[in-house]
Amino acid sequence: MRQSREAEYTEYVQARLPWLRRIAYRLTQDWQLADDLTQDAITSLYTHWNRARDASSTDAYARTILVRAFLAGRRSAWTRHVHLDGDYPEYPASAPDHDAFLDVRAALATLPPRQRATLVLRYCYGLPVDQTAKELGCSEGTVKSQTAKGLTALRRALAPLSAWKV
Amino acid sequence: MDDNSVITLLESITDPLEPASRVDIAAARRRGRRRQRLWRVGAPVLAVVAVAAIATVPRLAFPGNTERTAASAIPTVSAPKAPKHPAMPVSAPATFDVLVPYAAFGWLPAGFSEAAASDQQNSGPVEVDRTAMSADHGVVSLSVYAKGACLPEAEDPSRQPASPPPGSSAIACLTGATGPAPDVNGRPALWIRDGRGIAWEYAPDAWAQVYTSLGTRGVKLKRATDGAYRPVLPPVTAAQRAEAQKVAAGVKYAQTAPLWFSFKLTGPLPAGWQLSGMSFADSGGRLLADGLNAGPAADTSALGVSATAPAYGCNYVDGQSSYVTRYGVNWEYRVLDDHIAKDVEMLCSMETVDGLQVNVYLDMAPEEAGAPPLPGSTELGGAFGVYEKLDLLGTNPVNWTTNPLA
Repeated sequence: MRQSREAEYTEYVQARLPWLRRIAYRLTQDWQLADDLTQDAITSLYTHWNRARDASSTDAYARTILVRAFLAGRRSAWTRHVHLDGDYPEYPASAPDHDAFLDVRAALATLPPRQRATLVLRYCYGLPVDQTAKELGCSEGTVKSQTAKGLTALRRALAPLSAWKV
Repeated sequence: MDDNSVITLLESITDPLEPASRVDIAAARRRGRRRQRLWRVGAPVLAVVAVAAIATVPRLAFPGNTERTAASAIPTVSAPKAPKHPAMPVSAPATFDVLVPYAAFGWLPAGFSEAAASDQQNSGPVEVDRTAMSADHGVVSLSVYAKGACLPEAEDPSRQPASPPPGSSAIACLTGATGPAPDVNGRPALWIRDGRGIAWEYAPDAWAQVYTSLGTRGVKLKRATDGAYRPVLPPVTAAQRAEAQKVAAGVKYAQTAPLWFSFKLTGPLPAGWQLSGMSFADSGGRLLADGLNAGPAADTSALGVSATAPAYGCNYVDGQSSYVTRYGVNWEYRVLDDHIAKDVEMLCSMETVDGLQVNVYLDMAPEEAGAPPLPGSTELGGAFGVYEKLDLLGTNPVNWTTNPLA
């Protein structure tokens, strides 16, 4: 069903691209990298579209591809084989220029990829432990340990801010 | 600061204003398609794929209602007098013989040919796709479905002529139907995408569809509010609708021209595996297969084999492959970890064997993590095991076979 398949894929990606980009941004903390990662992920999504559309949740399937592409980044180096043209214009931040938000993003960016992905999925997207484990391709125990390590690392990174606020 | 405070910050984190996306969906489709072809049938004609992808954007990108015209607003256009119509089949098969493409164009607009879209022809068990292109990137594509394989789906439910019954395996594949069209050789028909395409019931419970595209000359890009550039389709003309009708009326069914293969697979397929589809090119009326795909019901394209004249080499993904020498041949070999799929083997000969470049793709991955491999996949002995079973027939199609499983 090639034509139907192509149309379905295109419609889905057009509709969900902003959502996928935001996830990619939260994982990479860089719009340039986020677009490269998203480009790689939707290419993989194309090759797996039959499975994705038949999955119980196409969104979850697409997000899993994205997250795993992010985690595989150091291994498969998607930034080396995905090159997009064009530069970004500079935009002001839309969120309140709040130190806490800036710092938590900066702190998040310092975490190892798996810890970062675990925290993003669990707390930015509200996934339960079992779903997070499924999307990361690891055990629930690993999710819990990565969560604990990630939160500890963030807490330490944000400690000066906390002390200043107090 | 305790964990709860950190979590609260994470939950309420906001992102800076998004810059315009540089993500290119059409490029993802092109790369994805190229990747699939490299995996499954090898030797793609990349330029044609790219051109086709660009040219088909208009008909793929906007199935929604932004451009849809009410059926009542579609002017009725009489099809120009077509050549002598082939007989319409009384019935259609429930499955096609993948080795003998069931349908073919009987008429094409001037300047269009299937040779210009040489890798856009596909023969599958429930669908046959034929594509013709013009020098200015216009596309005429035909899909013919087996009986019960496809039911038309109108965007407006009130016009929906049929819907898949509960539990049916049929797919509502004729998306974007916008209203009734004049009959095609006496068979009921629907306009698709305001007349850029037409679908018709060529036999009871069996549908076919034709799309036409003007090519890149007819497409303009417009920047949307989200910053992305999107194609703006020109209005459909009466001539375009008439052309689609004429192509539809000329389609030939129950064809007998077989596909010719450059190899034989000397060993049997595993129990329960079947041929699932072929890509082929029309070379002066002789249909030359690029390769074959087969698999069990769980993954009908688990195996892909091709042996073609070398065109673009291997290079699946930079830095991801191993290079090995076996059977006196240098191979590029890769076990694919495409973030989800594992246990996928890809094999590409870095030199010709009997003048042919050999590609083998074998996906043994189950759908669920931890499940056993696809039934029968281990019997093949991996990608190299498949190669051992190949009998290569050289580059001259005269020596090729119509039975690749002999």
